[in-house]
Parts: sequence; structure tokens; C-alpha cells
Amino acid sequence: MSAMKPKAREDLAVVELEGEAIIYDEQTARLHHLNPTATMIFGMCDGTATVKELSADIASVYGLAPSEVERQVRALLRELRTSDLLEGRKQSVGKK
Amino acid sequence: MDKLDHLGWVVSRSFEVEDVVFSIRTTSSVFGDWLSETLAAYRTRKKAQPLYSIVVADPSKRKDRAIKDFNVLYRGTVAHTRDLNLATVAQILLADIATLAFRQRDDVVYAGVAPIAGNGAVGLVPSAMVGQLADMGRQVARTGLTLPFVSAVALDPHTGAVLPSKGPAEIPADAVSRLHELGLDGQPSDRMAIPEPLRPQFVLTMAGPANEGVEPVSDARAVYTLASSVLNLDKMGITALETLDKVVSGADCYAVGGDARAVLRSVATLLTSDKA
Repeated sequence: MSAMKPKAREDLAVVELEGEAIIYDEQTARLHHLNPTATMIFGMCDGTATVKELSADIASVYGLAPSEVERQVRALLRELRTSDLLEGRKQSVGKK
Repeated sequence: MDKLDHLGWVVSRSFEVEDVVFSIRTTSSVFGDWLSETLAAYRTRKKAQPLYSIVVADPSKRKDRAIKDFNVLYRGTVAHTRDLNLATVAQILLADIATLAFRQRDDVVYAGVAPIAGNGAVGLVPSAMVGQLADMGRQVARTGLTLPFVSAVALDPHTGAVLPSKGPAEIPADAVSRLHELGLDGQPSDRMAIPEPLRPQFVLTMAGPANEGVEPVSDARAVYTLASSVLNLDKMGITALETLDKVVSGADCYAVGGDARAVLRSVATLLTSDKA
């Protein structure tokens, strides 16, 4: 099975202000506010990189341990998926 | 049947504004006549539940009583406005009627926020905060704060400016002065209209009763909070968010919390500081 390449939903209305994203999901009529870290990772979810690759990129830019970054990226992606902001199957809270 | 049904309504009329059908009832036959005259273009024979109920104070009683006799505008079963001045209540009613079709429109962004002014500055606040402040009565005027008629505004998608408030289109220009001519108390109101586009210097959001005081918030947080008050968000989508971005880009944004007294104190402090 191929590794997951997270991709942000293309039908979302997104406005970025000083590194923070405001997202309006027309399908659910829900608003979301992402902090700068979440906004950066959400912006990297273009469907071309695996979680491991995304994490490695961030780790190298910020000089952090790749394993720790990957753990945090996976946690955030779970939240984004739970909020239905990524393409693919919606994941319930806490599901691994 | 709710408590409002026992307040002695003598007039009930149905109106239709841009496909929204509603009725207005009042305890004053003279005010009922004013409503019929003012909203003549919108009268309908269709039956509708009362959306607005107006209890009109009796001026003759007011002279004999120490207690103040307020005019009260109910929206549904909620007391929307209590004011000694019937002209204020009447103009707030007309402004609110204008908002009924906001959810259906896609020409500009409509949001449930309203301008307040004081010390030469104009701010944009949640309409619920206007209600909170209005309940403080004369204390509001003593702080030099002016509250609006409107409970929702139109925002220009091109500039982010708050656009002039308009009542329903076909309202006679002399509607408010007619109140006085009909023998009703129609002194000039101390509320503010929006005669020309305005750019707020500050934007306030509500932080809740447990968070007393004023805290700066990021533009993104302000846009997120304002977006939840956009009435036609489903129609405007990304345009609404971009418009709100323009609204906050020229303003300082704060979250204000606490009870009504604390909110008034915070707003007064903001207005007299260099922040606003």
C-alpha cells in the first residue's frame, strides 16, 4: 500500500492573514481558524509529498529531530482530517 | 401562548419585504396607523406570525409616575430595544426590517455587527454587544458613546467600508417626523445613522462574561469571529472572508469580555486611549 500523501480540499475558501488561515467550508457551512504552524502544514498538503517527506522538510528547515516533527505532523493531520479539511476519508477524533 | 400575548395588542398588520412575510403588532392604534402609513408599500393580506411587537408608552401616564415608562420593541419573544424615545424604537424597527432580506442577498457582505462612535473614533462591534450597552441606559451617553440604529451592516467587498444604512426602499422620507405629527413622542433620537461609508478604527469581538477586560487579538482571529456573524456567508464564501480582511486591515482588533458594565468600561477606555 502506498504511503499517504495528504492533500488539502480544493473547494475550501481560504484566507491567510499574517500566517494564520481562516477557512470556510461551504459544504458544512463551518469556519475554521488555523494557527501559524497548522497553516504552514496545511499549505504544504498539496498531494505530492508523504507525511514522512513533509516532516523531513520541516525538520531540516527548523533544525529539529525528524521523528519528533513527524509525530506532531501526524497529530495535526489527524485534526485536519477530523475537521474534514483534507481530501479522502474523514477520521473520527482519536482514531489512529 | 406566551406572556407577550397578554400585553393588550390593539393592532396587528402583515407585511412582505423581499419574500419575507411577517406581522407587526402594537399596543397603540396611533402607532399602528403610523406603521400602516410608513410600510404601506409592503402591506400584504398574507397571514403571518408576529415577528415584531411594540409596546408604546403612554405619555399621559408618564407625567403622573415616578417610574419611567419605556417603549419596548420585541423581536419574536425577545425584548430587542427599550427606550423612552419612540422615534428611536421606530427607527430601530425600520432598520431591523431592512435586515430581514440580508441572508438572501449576494450583492455585498451583510454582517450582524454595528458601528459605535465616541471621542472621534468609530468601531465595529457585535450587535449583541450593542444590546448589552443599550441596557446600560444613560451611562452610555455619559461615556460619550453613541450607539447605532442598525443591528447589521452592509460591507463593501471592494473596500471593506461599512456602507450607509438603508431602511426598506419604499419608506416615506418624513416617516419619523410623522410620529410627532400623529401626537406620538417623536423627539430626535440620540442613535447614530450611517449616512456615508465609514472605516472603523477598531473592531471588537466578544470574549465572554468570564474574561473581563480588553485583549488585543490577531487580524485572523478577528476575521474568524466576524465571519461567524456574516448573514450571507453561504452566498459570499471567499468574498466574505476577503472583505473582512479589508475591514480589519485598517483597524485595531480587540476581544472585550465581562458583564455589560465591564464591557462599557472597556469600550470607554478604548475610546479615550490612543488605541482607538
